[in-house]
Amino acid sequence: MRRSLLVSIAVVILTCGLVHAQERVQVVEVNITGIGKIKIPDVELRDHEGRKVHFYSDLIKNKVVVLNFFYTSCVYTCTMQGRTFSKLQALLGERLGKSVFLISVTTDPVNDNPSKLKAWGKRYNVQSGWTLVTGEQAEMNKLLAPFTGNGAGGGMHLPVTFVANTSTGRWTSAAGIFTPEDLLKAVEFVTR
Amino acid sequence: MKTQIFRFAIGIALIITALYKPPAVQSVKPLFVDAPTNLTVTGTTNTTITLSWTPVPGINGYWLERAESMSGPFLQAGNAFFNTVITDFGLDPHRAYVYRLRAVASGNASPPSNMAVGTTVTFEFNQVQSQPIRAQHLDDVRTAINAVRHAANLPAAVWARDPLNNLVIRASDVQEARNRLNEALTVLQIPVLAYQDPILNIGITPIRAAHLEQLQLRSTRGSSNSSGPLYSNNLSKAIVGEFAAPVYLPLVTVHLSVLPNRKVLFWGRDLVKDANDNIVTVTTGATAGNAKQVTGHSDAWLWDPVTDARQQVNNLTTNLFCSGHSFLPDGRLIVTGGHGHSDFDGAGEKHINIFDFTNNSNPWSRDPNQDMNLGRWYPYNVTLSSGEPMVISGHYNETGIAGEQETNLIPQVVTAAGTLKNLSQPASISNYPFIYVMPDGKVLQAQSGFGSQESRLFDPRATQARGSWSNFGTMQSPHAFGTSVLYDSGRKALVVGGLDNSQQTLTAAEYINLLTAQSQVNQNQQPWTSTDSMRFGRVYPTATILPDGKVLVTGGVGCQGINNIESYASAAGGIPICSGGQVLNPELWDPHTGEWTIMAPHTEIRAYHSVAALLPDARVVISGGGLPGAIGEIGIEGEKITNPFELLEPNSIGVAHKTAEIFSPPYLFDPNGNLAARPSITSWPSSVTNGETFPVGASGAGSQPRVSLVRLPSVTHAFNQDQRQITLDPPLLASGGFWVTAPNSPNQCPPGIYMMFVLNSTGVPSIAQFITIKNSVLLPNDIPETNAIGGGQTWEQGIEFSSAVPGQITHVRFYKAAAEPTGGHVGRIWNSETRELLAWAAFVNETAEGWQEAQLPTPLPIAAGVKYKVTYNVSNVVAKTFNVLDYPILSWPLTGWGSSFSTPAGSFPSTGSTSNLFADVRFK
Repeated sequence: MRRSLLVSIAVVILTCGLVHAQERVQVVEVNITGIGKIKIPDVELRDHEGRKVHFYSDLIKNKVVVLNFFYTSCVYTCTMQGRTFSKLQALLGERLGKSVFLISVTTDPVNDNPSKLKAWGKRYNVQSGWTLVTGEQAEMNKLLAPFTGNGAGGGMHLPVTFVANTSTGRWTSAAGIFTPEDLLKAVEFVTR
Repeated sequence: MKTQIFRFAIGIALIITALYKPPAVQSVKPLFVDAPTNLTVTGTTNTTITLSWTPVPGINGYWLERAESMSGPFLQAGNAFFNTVITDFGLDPHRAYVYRLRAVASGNASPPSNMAVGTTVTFEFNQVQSQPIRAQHLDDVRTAINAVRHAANLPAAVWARDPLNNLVIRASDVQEARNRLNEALTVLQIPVLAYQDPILNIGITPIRAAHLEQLQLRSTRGSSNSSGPLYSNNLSKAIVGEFAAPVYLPLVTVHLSVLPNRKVLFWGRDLVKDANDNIVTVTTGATAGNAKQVTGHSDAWLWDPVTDARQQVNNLTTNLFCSGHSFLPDGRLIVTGGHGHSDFDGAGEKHINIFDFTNNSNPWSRDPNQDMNLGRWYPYNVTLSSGEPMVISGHYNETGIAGEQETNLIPQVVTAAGTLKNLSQPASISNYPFIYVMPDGKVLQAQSGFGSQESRLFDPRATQARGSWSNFGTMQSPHAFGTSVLYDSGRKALVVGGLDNSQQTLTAAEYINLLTAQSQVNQNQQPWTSTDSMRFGRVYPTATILPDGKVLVTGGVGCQGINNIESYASAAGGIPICSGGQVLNPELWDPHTGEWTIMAPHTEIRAYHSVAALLPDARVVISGGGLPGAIGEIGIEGEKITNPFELLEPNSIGVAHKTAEIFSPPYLFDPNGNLAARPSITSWPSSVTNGETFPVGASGAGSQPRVSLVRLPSVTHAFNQDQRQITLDPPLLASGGFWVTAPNSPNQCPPGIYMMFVLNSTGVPSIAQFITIKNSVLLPNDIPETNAIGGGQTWEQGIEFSSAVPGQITHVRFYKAAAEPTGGHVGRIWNSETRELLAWAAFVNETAEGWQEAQLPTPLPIAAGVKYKVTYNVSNVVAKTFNVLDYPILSWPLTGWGSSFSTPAGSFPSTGSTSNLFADVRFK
């Protein structure tokens, strides 16, 4: 099962390169405990302020990040994740936006434009250091597939959270509704 | 692995470069695309399979799917391409793979082509007709044949002469190979062509290379007449069992319990419908467009799976969807929580409902004064060794705003007084956590959906009987939405299937040995160990333990995602990257070998909201699924469900698999596939206490009968609460039956009603009879935490108790502190109200410390519900634990209501205390 997925990804990238060479994106391979190696594309996104950002080079590279996936019209698990991130901001205190960054990626790019992200963020008191991002559906499919196993599309989904120190390459991830304290422990784990 | 990917990628690239043709120009998006035909394997090596097919005109390319058996799931093995030949690289050697092809045009994919099967086996010789035949040649053919059998879901062939070890190959060997291959080809619907020398005369027909080459060819490539997936095969029922035809039920069995009267109680998810039976939707707010759900009511039914009789038994106070449920020791079902809001999920009800199977006219009851602390939506129950139901987890929503649900972190037990006691809370808890009582009476919480990989331990006796939580090791895999079951007579727990963190379905299985886990954790070793993986990845399967101790895993779906029989690259749907994910074949796990065997298929998809349960006749009912349907199923509006945003809208939430299918496991068949002769239980006691040796009348059980107890099933959302199977120690044969002993400890066998099966020496089970297991003492697990000095006086002290059922007190007991002088103690039993001394016995041969026990001269009959006191005299030092009797303690059917003491020794104790003063009885 695992081998099939990896083989598929390899094929997708390669055939894209042949048929649509202009769409080739920079891809970074990381090794995530419990998942294995995944390839992260450095796709261009918009944050909740409407700014252009590149997923890997601007948001992830050489940072400690806590990364989750949501969509603004979600009324179940994403709301619980939102509250958790909101409280995690307070627990991180000074570290937020300086050494630790929170990133929430929408799984519904068709509906979630930057202003919708901003409105959603307001409900959860988004501070500097927590970035909500959306993008073109095709780009988002490439980004979401390695992390969530699916392309863009919200609905019933496994609430998976990734915590990484990309300076050291230490990644961890788990599915579940976590407490802010759980995530703080994970941050401390990857920064040890 | 990396090398394989690389090789595969290069291989595909070369072929595409060589054969690339520009796609045909298509001005109008076609609605339907013709499926490719004649998919054929044209070549194999030990790591590659090459296929070709008849092209489809006017399309944009092809899509290759691969599966490891004819049942799927078919996963994408090659992206869209335009040639009509493809080589699949990087395969595992000695395996057969099943392929299908779809044509793709403007984003639409055709139905699949026929299936083709290729086998990655290479042979030592080819095309040398005169070469002498050696054993190795037939060995290679056998490997290929078994690979094909594997793809056909058949067990590996058992060869008459094995190993061959350089033996001369005979006509009988070749004929046997042909027969075993033909069985697989027939199942795969690959035409079986005539063989050269169709009749091999044993000892006459010389075996030539041509005979083996023909087997080589036919075992390495074949084209099925079917596009699959295929689930049926014609194996003997003694190996794969058999499903009966589906039976229609009035609703989807999201929640199902087997009652002590052999009836099945079930309820589902109640949606609001209009006069035309259409689903009514929410019109405003965040969940507009979603189905409106019923509140304060559940349609519920009783069903007799033997006679098919049904009776509606609706609950009129609570929507019981997404509740937890377990059996009280007297056989009533306790249902905790439910669904509390019409417009959204997660707003759990606080209600506790009781279903009394003995009350025909009004079986449901709810005491509004005994609600839980907060709502619970997705809690589970576990019956502690005391017989108290403990409820854990679930969501509540206090604001009434969609999305503002929180987790109810406080576990509670329903005490003997009917009140709820709050227990210590963990830092966090997953929804519907898998929980079990361990052999020491503590509670294990293994990972479950929406949780982490950590497992934890809850000690219900710690912290003045409020309990405490501690970490108990990290599991090997996440297993989100997998299933779990206790096995090995409650000594081990299995967790299997589910999703990993990237939503790939898992075949992985792991177990924990509950007898050794604590010492492993103490030594910083991980107590979770992998065992063999299932054949099929499954999300939302259900594990059911059978009377013979084997575990049947049924249902679930296999494509990547939370509940997918197909999965797609994006929410827009389009071409599936995985299809055929409906896993219709259960798998049977043998704990002794760790091996899984694929069972006969059922008919309907059993995905999210499906259940499975052992019936008293030793068959297994599987049922339900839907509400919503799986991604990839056709919704009620005729549109395929591809968009997970729309799962709660009518098209998808309306999907309802309202059927039950009853599985007869292999143990019900003899080697010829006929129904096996079954033992029967002719007489048995209706109740026994822990450790009691009791007579069972049986016929047809043979000279080596086994007795198996299985807790009554109560299942929802892929987990059967309290499920356990206990094989009793070997019985002592007697005329017309045997004597057998109930488990000694309520930790191994928590009090309650069990199905008792008798199995004969070949493992054929009887139809079960019901037996109630009662605790024999009030304090089976407790150890005093402290000592207290008597202060120079003598004391009489003890515990007030009653029994929920009539019985006899045979012994008095107390726990002697080491500093209390040895000898001279007397145990007494009083009527609590009249203060009459009813019986007494002197303790003899006292030990320095610990439990002392004295037999009453004659057993003392006691009535149900009457309060008594058991007391003993103390001259100096008393063993006790402070503040644990503020709530009554249960050891069903016994309840300890509180302690009391008086001075001097021998007087009726009248001063109350909330300490546990460690007086006890032995009851039967």
